[in-house]
Amino acid sequence: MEKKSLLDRIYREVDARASQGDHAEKPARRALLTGVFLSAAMLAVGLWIVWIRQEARPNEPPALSEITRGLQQGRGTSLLYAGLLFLAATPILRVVVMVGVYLRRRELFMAAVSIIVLGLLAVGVLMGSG
Amino acid sequence: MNTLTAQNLHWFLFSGAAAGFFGSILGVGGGIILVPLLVLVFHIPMHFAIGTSIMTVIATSSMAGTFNLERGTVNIRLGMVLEVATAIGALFGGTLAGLVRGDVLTVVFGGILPPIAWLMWRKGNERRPAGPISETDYQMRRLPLAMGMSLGAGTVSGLLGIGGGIIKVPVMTVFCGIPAKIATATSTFMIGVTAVASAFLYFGRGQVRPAMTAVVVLGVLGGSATGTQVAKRLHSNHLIRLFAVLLSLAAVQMVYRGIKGLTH
Repeated sequence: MEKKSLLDRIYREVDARASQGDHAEKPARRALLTGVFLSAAMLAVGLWIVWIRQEARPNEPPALSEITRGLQQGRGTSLLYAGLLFLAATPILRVVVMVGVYLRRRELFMAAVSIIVLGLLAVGVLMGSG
Repeated sequence: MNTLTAQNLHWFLFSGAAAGFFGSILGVGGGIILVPLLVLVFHIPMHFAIGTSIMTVIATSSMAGTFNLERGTVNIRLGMVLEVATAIGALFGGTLAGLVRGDVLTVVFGGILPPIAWLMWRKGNERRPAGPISETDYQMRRLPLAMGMSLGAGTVSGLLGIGGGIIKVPVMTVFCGIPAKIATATSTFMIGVTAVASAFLYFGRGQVRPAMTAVVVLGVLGGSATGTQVAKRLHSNHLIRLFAVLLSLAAVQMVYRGIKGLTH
């Protein structure tokens, strides 16, 4: 009986023909486009507000609650932080979309790989906020 | 506290646009150009330059990723598998960067520039392939090697704020049997996730200046979009070789600056 190792399984998954039949390009592309354009818009408006009001910027990174409060007050610096966080969240959103795509198709192996990537990104977020 | 002045706003925007534009034309990530520019010209502390560069890597990867996904040149499955290794590497590199002095990172950055310059010089001597190479009939080989190199590329990315494509693409192409176009597009698709893994570490340490980073990110996005269009028509070996020389000079300056900082 043919021995099927994890490595063989991965080779099969990343095979050119398998990847061509992926059809995951559209949702991944949509996630990236949305993230880039929204974050770029937030950064541009935030810069404009900071520029017009000549807002002083804190040297220490604000907590999420401070950013939310600043957004409610229309502060440009808070919008800049939110834009940068949104930009950083864009690839995470793409991975979330991939998890959804693979789970819907019951491709459990690729869904598991995507969840591992998501978990590693979550570790990064937690290490940064801790 | 600091405020945004018209002068530094224009210069940061210009620097971002230049890094994005030439990065696209030369086929290297903007970070290779941006970090030396921020450190050597604007005297931005190394950790802040890396924090800014990481955010631009996310922006360019996401933007270029949309084009490559539309063209169907990304092997998403391969990208997802290798992202496991690059993300682990980036977490390690980003953590390590927080433990060492900026001057040490400056020396290390200067140290990796000459091999990159050499790779660029070689690329500048290559002729363009006459016809399209098959992008649909290939088989991945030596996956463990690709995983190992992805781990290394992720570490370098988290440590120095560059995408790491300069390491992954040659390995994928030469040793793993992936066509150059697929390898480049897949690497670009991956580097956003790699950069995010360490971006929050820089955020948490307060090493991302929001206004400066925002200006540079917008500049890079504009510059790389323009550069991508120009690159379709232009393939100047002279320009690639010129940049290889400039990178070598930047390497000397970075090492000198880092060593000077360490000895004072």
